[in-house]
Amino acid sequence: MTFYVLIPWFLLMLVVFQHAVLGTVFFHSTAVEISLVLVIYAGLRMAVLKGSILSLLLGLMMDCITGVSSGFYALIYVSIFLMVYLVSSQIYARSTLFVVLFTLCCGFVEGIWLLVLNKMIYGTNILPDLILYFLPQLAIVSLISPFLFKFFHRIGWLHDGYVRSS
Amino acid sequence: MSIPKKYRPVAIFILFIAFSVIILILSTKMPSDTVYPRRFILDVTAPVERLIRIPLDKTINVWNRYLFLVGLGDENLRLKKENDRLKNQLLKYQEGYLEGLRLQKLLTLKDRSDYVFTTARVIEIDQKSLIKMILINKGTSHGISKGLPVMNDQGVIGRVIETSWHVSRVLLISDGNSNIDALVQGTRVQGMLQGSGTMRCILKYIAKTEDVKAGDLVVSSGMTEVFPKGLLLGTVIRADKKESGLFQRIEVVPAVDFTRLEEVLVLMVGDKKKK
Repeated sequence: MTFYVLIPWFLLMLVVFQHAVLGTVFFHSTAVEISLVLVIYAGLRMAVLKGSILSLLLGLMMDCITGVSSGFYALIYVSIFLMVYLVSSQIYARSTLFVVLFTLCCGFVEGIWLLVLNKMIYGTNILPDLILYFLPQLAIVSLISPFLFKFFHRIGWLHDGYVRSS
Repeated sequence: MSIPKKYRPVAIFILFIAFSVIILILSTKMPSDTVYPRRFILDVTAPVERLIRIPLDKTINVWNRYLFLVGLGDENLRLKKENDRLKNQLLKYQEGYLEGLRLQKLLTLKDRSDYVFTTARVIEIDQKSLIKMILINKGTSHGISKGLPVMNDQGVIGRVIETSWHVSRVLLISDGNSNIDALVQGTRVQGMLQGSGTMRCILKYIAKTEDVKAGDLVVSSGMTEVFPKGLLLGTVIRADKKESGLFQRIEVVPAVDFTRLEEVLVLMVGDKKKK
């Protein structure tokens, strides 16, 4: 129950921190998308319903904060969660190197989604921007993902004691 | 009716994916005013960001003003020369302005200063992300609404695309989704100025027979209700007639330096000054 009460506020704090604090510290030149890492963490460690709710809410908040159409990031995050959840039983996600590489892979999937959805909804090709801004951001996020995994793991109510091992 | 435990994850996924797709379709097919949750999140983020920005700006200011002084002497000399040149230029322009006023009276044209401006402070510049935009500290409670043009003394910055009560989001003209009816000032040839995603814009639909060259100014044509006629948009930096097709490829650099935005003016199109 604690999860459902706390999760909207936790996610709001997370996106505000990600956008306002990290964005300002890096002069808005690099967006450190820790929300993506949370979605991957949810896919690897959390129960399916809670993880889905978390991904959807996080996506909707990202839509608000980035200014894209509602549902844009929600669809991306839910589908990434789905992808991670489906492969989670087949992988051993304890090693640091694996977490880094796995986050990188999921980031690429997000990049493809961004490319496709931007083309479909806005009719714009964002490939140059993806190469110029998104890839360096992805590299940073991948590198810090093991630390973020540890941080999320310490938040007990996030998984209510239930942690899927993979 | 309960779903067997085995199929429950699949059912949840289908439900959530479908829900996301429906929201996405609804928000793109039926654009409306900013909904309340979006307004709430915008209003929450802006003050936090402003709070962080104050010490950061002060630190940068101290660094630039007192510590990073390399090349200051040369810059000072260059600026003095430029100042003299600009003074002369200003004198010429003042003459031109007075002449323009006289002509305007003769032609009984409406001046664009008839419009009411609202000054706003830029609280976030986000031009290195996928969507080029800025946040300003005025919203619906200050009379700002979706679609209003935003400019500064250099020229047009963009237009308001989203508003909350105290914050508005402005799409920069350099964004790929921005399209403005424009004309080349010298030749009066009309086209469509589209952002190219980087710090450039492309002036589209100019026939190869038209004579457009680097240095030509591009202004709004006033063909749509959004941007009044004659607002400076940018300067042509390259016109290429070698491309295949009927039209030239004309690259335009925006008049506004988006990296140095502090205060902007929101043009309240529809409201006019009472004389």
